[in-house]
Amino acid sequence: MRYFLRKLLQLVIVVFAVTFTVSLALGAIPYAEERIIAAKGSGAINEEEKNKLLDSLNLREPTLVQYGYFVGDLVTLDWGVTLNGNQPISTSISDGLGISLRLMIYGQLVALLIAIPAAVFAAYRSGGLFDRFSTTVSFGFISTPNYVLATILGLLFTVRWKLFPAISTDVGFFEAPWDHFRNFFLPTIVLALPLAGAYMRLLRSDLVNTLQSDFITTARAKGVSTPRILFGHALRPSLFSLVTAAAVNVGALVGGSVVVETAFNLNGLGRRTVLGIFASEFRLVQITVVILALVYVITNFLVDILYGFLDPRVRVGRLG
Amino acid sequence: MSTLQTAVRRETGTLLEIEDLATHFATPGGVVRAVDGVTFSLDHGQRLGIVGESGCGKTILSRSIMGLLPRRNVIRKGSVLFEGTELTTMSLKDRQKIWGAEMAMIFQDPMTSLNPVMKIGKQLAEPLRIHLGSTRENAQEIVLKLLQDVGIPEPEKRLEQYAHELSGGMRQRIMIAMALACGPSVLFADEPTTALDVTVQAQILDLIEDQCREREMALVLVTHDLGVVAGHTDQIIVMYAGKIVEIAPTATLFSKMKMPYTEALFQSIPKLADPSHTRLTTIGGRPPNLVAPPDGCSFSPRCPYATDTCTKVEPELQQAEPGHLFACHYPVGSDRWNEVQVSLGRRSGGH
Repeated sequence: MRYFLRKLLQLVIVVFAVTFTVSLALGAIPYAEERIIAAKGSGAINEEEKNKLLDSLNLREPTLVQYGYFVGDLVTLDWGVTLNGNQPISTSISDGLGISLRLMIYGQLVALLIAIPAAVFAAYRSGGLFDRFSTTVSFGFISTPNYVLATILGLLFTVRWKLFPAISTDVGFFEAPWDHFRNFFLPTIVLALPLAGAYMRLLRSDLVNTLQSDFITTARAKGVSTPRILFGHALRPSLFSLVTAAAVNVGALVGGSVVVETAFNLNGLGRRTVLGIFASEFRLVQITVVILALVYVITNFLVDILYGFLDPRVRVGRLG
Repeated sequence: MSTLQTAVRRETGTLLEIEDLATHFATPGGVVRAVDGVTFSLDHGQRLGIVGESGCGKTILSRSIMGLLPRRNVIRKGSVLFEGTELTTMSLKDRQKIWGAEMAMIFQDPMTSLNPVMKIGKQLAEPLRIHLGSTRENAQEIVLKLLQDVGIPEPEKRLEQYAHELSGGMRQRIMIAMALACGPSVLFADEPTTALDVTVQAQILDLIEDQCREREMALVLVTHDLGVVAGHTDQIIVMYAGKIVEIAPTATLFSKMKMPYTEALFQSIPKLADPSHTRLTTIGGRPPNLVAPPDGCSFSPRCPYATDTCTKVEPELQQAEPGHLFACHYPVGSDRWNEVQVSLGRRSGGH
């Protein structure tokens, strides 16, 4: 219980620090007011509208009051509209988050589905042919930049073989599963392959160590079959590095794989944020940053709980 | 009475026949001859001790007999007959059927020998579920009985615990219970008490002995401690540099040892009768490098009785009396031995 409270306190501190910094940051932007007016289209609005707009953003209030309003707006979900197009910011963010979350989940799943069996097999015969082969391939994936992979796979699958659309559209899974698959396949693969490479190498080296443990010999001496030794005995205590890396990537991927989203024209959170920065959509960027911080903090919290599940010794150490 | 069956064997005769068994490791530094031509046999219910210093091949020998060693970079020779079946050529799948069921093993360090992330109950039930196809409920019943047999208090509570919640002695008891689960005909105990508290050591050894007797199970007790094997075995093999240098019934070995290495091991046991501050006797030098063992007798560089013959001609195992073999040119009691004893001042001249 103390452990949970401590984690909760940590969460509160991080959220406070992030919101405060983000709120202050607006004041640090030179000519923020002018930029906002310009983004709105300076000729298109009169003086009265201009004042109304700037008042609605609380830009003229003292810093602390600004922060109070910002937090208030965040909590009440009163996020306002985008400067360009008057789209509700909440809609823009939830649309972007929808795409980025799906990409993140698909990418992670595919990466783990490739990495775990490959790592187990490579570790089982470490130094063997498959081990050397998979290590080389994974190194290749890790060192290939996203945009190169996206371009090559895009060329092959969309231009030459015409298997997938070159421009992905966000089609809901439940409305049209097949189209959904076609639209998300390539972005997912481009996202997943480098991850799979990294995950495989992490898990493989941890597994090789675990397989040399005494308790593995015990399991062998009991007559436990090889697959059961690998998956039943060795895998779980070897998952720490993998879980840590995967958790870090949750945050990073929700924040958006800008390159992949751009390459396949998916309007995910990452792409929206980058475009928002260029378009002086400060409000959108501020709120996105806060959401990302929340995602990071919550993921870390969940991972800490997962550690306890992976290794009961952690539970004792932290809860006791 | 309970419906539980703890398989009790009433068989007699030879259980294990090991012939010219060799295990060499191919390493970057050369071939390590960890076990080098070992021949002996083990009867049903017999308790055998294997003693020697660290690094003389005891552990590798016991694992070679079970066939537990990895295949890669390991050169194996010789034959292991288990109840007449050759183990060395058996497929992994077939050996897995014997491991845990017919032959079981417990290890030196109970701290690391249990899976840290698996509940004790599940680990204990595993051999039963694998080999006997027990259901969960059935396995649990047998496991509780086993835990009682090995003297674990509150067995129900243990099933839900993890290894780190138990003491070292308790863990070793769990290991023993796990090894006994399927009623194996032979138990290999690899330094089972070395990592334990002295007070717990005796309890564990007594437990192993009781269980062996009760289940008519053969025992191979690997240890560097002659004191451990003295009270708990019928026969002792003394190993040096991967080879058997002396083999004899326990009582015979202690009263009529022939091999100077055995004598040296024996002399290095501290004795209660010694006055305090007596210098402990050690065996000078170290076990030989198993990549390039010395010519002749491998103990010759450390042997006080060694002559030129010893450094050139390797002694064959010879019989002192039926069941007592030793490999030495100048065994304990020989003229040469007497001569050196006199010169060392350990004994006055015989004539």
